[in-house]
Amino acid sequence: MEKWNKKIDYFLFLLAFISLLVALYLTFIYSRIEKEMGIIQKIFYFHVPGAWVAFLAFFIVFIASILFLKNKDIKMDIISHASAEVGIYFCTITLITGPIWGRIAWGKWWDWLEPRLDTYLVLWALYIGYLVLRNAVEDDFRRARFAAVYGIVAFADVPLVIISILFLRKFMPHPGPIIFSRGGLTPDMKLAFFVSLFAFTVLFILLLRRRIFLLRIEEEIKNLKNKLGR
Amino acid sequence: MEKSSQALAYLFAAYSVIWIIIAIYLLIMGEKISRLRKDLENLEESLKKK
Amino acid sequence: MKFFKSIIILIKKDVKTELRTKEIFTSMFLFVFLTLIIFNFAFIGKEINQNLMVGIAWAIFLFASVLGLSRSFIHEKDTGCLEGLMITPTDRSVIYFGKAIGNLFFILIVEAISIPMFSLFFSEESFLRSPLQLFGVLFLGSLGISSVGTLLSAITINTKARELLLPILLFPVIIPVLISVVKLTIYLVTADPFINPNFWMNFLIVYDIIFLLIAFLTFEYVIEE
Repeated sequence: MEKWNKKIDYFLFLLAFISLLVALYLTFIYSRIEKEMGIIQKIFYFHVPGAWVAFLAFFIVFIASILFLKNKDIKMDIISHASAEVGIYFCTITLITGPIWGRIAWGKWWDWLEPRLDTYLVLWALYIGYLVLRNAVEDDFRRARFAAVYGIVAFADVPLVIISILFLRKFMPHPGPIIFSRGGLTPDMKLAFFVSLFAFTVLFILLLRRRIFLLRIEEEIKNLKNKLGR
Repeated sequence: MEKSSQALAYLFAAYSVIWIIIAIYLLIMGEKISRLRKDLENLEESLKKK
Repeated sequence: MKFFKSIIILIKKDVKTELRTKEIFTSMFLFVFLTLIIFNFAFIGKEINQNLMVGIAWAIFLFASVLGLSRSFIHEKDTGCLEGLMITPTDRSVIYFGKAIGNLFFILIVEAISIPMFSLFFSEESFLRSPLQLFGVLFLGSLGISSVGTLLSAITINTKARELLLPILLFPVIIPVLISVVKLTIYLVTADPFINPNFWMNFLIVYDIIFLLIAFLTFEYVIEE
């Protein structure tokens, strides 16, 4: 089992490395420069995958939290902890690359009427809160229960935040979800985007698995310490 | 021309942000691992004493 | 039936202790009053329009609610009353609903007293133009705050940071409520034609139902020891 896990991680590492290199090439050299927005549009190829991964991570927190409350399996708690932690980093990436794009495209760093930017800001605050909460409880089992409840509350809040911010104002200067609109992306742009999406997802899975592994070791060392009475 | 070179600079800044943040993450994890190593060594020593 | 009876008994207990100590109510009300003064001096010489006034009012209500919510389990925690409640042969969610409704009461009373005060200090009568609708908005908004707030208060009271943690956990979750109540109150005050009151009303109701349901399902895991 342990051996297999190691092999999977090596494989994931290679896959992430290669696909990230390919994505780098496709993003900066292969895909064409978009006519209207110019070269800054290329941020799209890593801004959106980052946002996707952050969302995926927080969704995993949500599912693992429900499963924890159902079965009281501490493994699920470790998964949600790891996922929230890795997710926060990708959320931070999204939050920093977004305004950099906005500075060129709109001429200003932040636009409070922009629903997606606001949503990710709230997401970031929610899961920072989640991690702060985890830090503030000492007992393992209690921490797991509290975190699971907050993990559910936080994720249930996300669609409500999105809807409420969407209806704050009618107009949206952010480019809509171009992937879904017809003729929005040319085939070369599509290829660059999906390879990049794949690369980020693999990178996330790798980081998540390593974090879970590390948390398990932390857990074991803590148990050993307790056994030795120190 | 001026504007596109500025855009290029911003684009590279944004791309490097990804790797800076992931590097920070890896550094923090490395710190954690070295602390765990120390913990393990201490545990081993105390086991030997017993 | 027994379920509702136990809830009512719990609320009565909270109201009784509150009437005796007047701790939560006094501090919440004074907080609203003093923050209002602070805001007025902070914006001195500036025209405060109706939109801004509504925003200030709700921000103050939110902060005051946090003050009350963070106290709501401290009594039980310090006197060991929570353990007593937990060994009673009732559903755990009864404790939650009793507390949430009690908190809702306190928040509503403070708001009901503060709103005429806001009108007075901002010399703005439009707040009181449609009192019945305004009460509806206050009720749904405060229900949202107390439904999430009571659940999170039960969590934070058992952490190292205690009540310090409550606003950090509560504020991001409460943002949709804040947006919709501000929109609705602005609509009541200015009759802004760009605001769709039905949409925000329904949104607020959905929010309240979702979080009451989540709290109902998860509260037993929060206080289980």
